[in-house]
Amino acid sequence: MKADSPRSLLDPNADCRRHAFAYLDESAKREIRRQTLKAVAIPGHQVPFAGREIPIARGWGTGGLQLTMSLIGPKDVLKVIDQGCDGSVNAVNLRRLATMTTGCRTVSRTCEATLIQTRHRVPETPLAAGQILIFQVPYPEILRLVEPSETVTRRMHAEADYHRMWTFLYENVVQWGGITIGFRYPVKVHGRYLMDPSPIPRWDIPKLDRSPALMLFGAGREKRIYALPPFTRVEPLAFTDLPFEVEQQFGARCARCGASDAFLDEIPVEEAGKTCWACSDTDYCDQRLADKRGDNGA
Amino acid sequence: MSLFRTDDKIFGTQKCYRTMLSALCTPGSPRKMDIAGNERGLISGVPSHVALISLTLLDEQVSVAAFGTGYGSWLEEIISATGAREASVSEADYIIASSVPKLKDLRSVKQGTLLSPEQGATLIIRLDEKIEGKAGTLEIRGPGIEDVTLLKAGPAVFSLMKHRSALEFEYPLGFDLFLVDSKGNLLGLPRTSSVKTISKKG
Amino acid sequence: MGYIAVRGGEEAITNAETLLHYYRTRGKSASLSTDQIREQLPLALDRVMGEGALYAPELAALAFKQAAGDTLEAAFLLRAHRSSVSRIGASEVVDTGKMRVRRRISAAFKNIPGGQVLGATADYTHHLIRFELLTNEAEARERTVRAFEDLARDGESVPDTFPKVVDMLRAEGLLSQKKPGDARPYDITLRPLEFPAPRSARLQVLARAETGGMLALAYANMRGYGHVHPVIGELRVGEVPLYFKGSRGNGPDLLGWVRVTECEVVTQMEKAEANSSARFTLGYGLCFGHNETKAISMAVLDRALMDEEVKSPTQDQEFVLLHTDGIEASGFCLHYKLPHYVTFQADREQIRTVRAAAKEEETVEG
Repeated sequence: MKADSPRSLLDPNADCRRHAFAYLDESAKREIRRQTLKAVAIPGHQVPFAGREIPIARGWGTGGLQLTMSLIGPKDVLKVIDQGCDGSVNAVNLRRLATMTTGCRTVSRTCEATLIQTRHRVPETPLAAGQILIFQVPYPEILRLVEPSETVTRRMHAEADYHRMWTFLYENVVQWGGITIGFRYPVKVHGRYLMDPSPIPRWDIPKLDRSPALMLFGAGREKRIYALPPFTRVEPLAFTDLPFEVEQQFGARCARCGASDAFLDEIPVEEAGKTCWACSDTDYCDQRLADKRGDNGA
Repeated sequence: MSLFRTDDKIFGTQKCYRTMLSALCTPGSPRKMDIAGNERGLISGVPSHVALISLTLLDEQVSVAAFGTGYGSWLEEIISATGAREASVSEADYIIASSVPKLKDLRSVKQGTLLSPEQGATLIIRLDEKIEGKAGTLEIRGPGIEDVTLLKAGPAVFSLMKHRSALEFEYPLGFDLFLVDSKGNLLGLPRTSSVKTISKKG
Repeated sequence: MGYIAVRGGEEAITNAETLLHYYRTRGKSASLSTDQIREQLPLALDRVMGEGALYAPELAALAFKQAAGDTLEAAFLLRAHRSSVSRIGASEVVDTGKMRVRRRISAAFKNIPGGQVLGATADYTHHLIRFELLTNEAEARERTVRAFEDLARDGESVPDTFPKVVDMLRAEGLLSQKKPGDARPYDITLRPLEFPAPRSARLQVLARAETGGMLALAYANMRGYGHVHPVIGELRVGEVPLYFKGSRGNGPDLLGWVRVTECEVVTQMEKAEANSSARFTLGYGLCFGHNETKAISMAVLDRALMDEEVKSPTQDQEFVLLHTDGIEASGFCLHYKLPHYVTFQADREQIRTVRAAAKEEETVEG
């Protein structure tokens, strides 16, 4: 290294002012790629990774984003949703960073995407083989519900000792007449690991079981990656006399497209005490509307 | 001036990674590795597919070994090109082989621990012969496969699968395999795959 | 009634950013230059660099200006920037004994070889607001400069280096001898942190942790949630030389000088090993720039995490190391502003289901 007078980082021609493709440098990508391959080999097991800081705050999807950045190539087609919605400010922001650093095509149509990054929902449109669904995960550890220490929960997974989770669920039933977990419902993967499906509603749990798509889960702040290869058995914990149930939605329908077979958001309207319902998955809603109008060339 | 730096090497490793991921997600169904024209001779003395895989996954954060003395020269070049640390077969994170290892060699490959099963090794085996062939049929089940995948395997793959079954992994412990032949066909086999060998005459 | 789909997210974000910078720049006062920030608000920048984990005073000034004074946001900007510059390698081990000292004190001894050097400190200023800073600044500056020049002319010259107090304690056999450390320190930016964490990892986490968070935990420990009673063996502030060995194997080159604050606290005795006498233990703190609160808190927490018997969260590795990173903690805290309506919806459904079931039971029993 020549001992020139140091070049200021404020120099507009400094190479560091241009980002690497997909922001992360190759060593960061390599680490994530290694750990992702291991995660796929051990479904449901949380693989630690070091990761990097990126220009999105921790807690705002950095794990999911790092997975996307380690996967994405110039020919990929990216969809980003938050709460099922492509237009949500957070999804828009993540999509902007992705396009800024890759130049990739982005879509809102689920069926056109090769990579789908999501926060807290699984798309209503069934996924196909070859698609990758990337979840943003705030809490990778399902056992955190019953145990604050990482050292202890790691041991519980190692020994497949999940009795405290079962006790927690049982106490739930005793107190409320049923299991009242609304999101982050515990699931058992490939008959071995208890997994946190991320804060998706119960509605989406059945979509995880033996999906044709690959599902990757990234927790940036907690620094864990885990995976569900295609066609992996994913079973929600339940008691034999109290089977797992999704939300009832009590006959509500989407005010826009009329769907009752999709997860609906309840939205307060001007009249006091009144609400209306709308599809959480905006692309699903758009497609149904287009189909109704005959716009889809069907 | 473009907002981001790009170069061919970045895209080469990205494509290789996606192929490997796809292979691991569809155990028993070979994927095709694309080697663009400028990727030949990536690491001198090392077959291009093995070189590309090495550049995609290895660096100074991991350790690598090779089976037996016949593979020594590849290992040196790979270590020099990637900065990976050399280790013994029983400690290495990644193991490169240029033919099917003996069962006794496979027994010393690390399988991880219950606390850290991901520390089980990854084997990268490069075969001269094609993956698919007529030695027998493999019945593969497990994550990545809807019901069963049948693979008509060549003799090398067939005997490797026999060795692997003999190891009797106790899930989640085990190691994970990638097989690549001279045509760039890539087979991925995670520890979760159960493989039954059905001989031609069976 | 019509349902209006929520759209226009992109426009909203762009407008929000415009508004942010408008508020910072719309006033009639002269725009702050990064030079002004660097020269006149250096302690804010030291905090930003220490928590951003990147020693870059010019960039820190720019980040601080952009963040309108929000030190956590500025630290985040630096941390994110750090990820995008290529990593060349690691420096040679820094010898703080070679520090060009600006300030150096010991609470353990009345006087120490080299003397108690107060340096620039607000410690003894009565902490009264100086209203004269509001007016006649140019005059005041001139007076200050002249006062310093008088001092400088009549004062003694400062030695190049000062001996370390802990070396004295070691020579007396009161501190354990330094055990050879890890050949390679555990680098948490390259490998995920696992528990129990080795000391090099613990120190690295603390060195880039947020001052307020560390202070709260150290304070709790000092007050009784733990039992570190720190006697400051030495606190020193100054510039240390940074050497780097190139890949071509030539001798190490001097890259430059980095300002750090180092604190070594001498704390309670540890049980003597067989055939040796009781010794004091050492807690170590080191951070970028001039930040005494952080260095002292770090030394206290370093010592607290050595306790085998964990009675309080301040002694618990997971508790201390996982909750003191400012970027992670603030990111997660602020993420609660993101939409959570799906999970909230799921919970509302649960309440409805439970109420419906209860009503059913009532009608059955009733």
